[in-house]
Amino acid sequence: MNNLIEELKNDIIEQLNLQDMTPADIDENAPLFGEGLGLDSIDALELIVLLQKKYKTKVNNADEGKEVFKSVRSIAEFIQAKQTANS
Amino acid sequence: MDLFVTKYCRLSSKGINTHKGGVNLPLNDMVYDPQALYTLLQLSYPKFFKMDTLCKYGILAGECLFERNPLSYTSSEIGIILSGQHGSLDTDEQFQQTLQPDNFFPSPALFVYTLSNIVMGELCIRYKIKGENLFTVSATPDYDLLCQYTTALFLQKRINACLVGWIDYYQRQPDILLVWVETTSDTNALPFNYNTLTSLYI
Repeated sequence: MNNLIEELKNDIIEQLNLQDMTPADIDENAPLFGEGLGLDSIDALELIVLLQKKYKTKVNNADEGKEVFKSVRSIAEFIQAKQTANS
Repeated sequence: MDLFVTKYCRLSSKGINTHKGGVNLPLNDMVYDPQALYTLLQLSYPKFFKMDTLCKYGILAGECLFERNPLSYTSSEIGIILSGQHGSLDTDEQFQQTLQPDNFFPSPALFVYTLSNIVMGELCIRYKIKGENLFTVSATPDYDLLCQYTTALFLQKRINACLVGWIDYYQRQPDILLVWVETTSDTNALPFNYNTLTSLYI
């Protein structure tokens, strides 16, 4: 799980062009939207594309998305659960 | 009505020139690297990194023009009249690359920049411009049109200041002239007309 969290932090920095930010600057338990990283709605869409493209994982609806994109840790847990279910 | 260009910025592959003179670029090819220019100009605007290249160059030219000085007009009395050749074509092509049948992952972050006038919106957000606006696309700068349209807005008392210019970017080639037009002049002001814009564009 820790490796996946680190990988996700790097992916998020690259995908969302978070300049001058390192994985160490991202608290995996902090909210991604509003406070915390302060991401916006376009960032949310980019994260959905990231999950589909790299992790072959699809968020099925808006309600699920709200839970999945709470934090880096919740995204990692979602990916891991999906991968376990598919293996 | 007498109108004046009180500030200007010309940004192209030849470098950057403003009403205060040339901007010293430590490296000749720095003009092709918007992020290097961002650092050189000591900007602090995190949204910059999310923008497409056309918008980045628009903001960079705007920063050279205004130098972080607040505009001395209310938002609604400032107009913005811009023109360009390629519009958002450079970003359109990048977005198209995300639409390949065997690799279909359309990028939302690219999609939101696939309109010619988004650069105008970014400038409006950055400099709090809420007055009359127009963005035209033409093969070459039509400074007669830009001057006549801008002057008409001043005459109708719709605006008291205006950001006017040519803003183009395609295949790594920035080509921008922004001028700040006011009714008051200072010692360095230039008359706002076709000849001035043409001579500044060279």
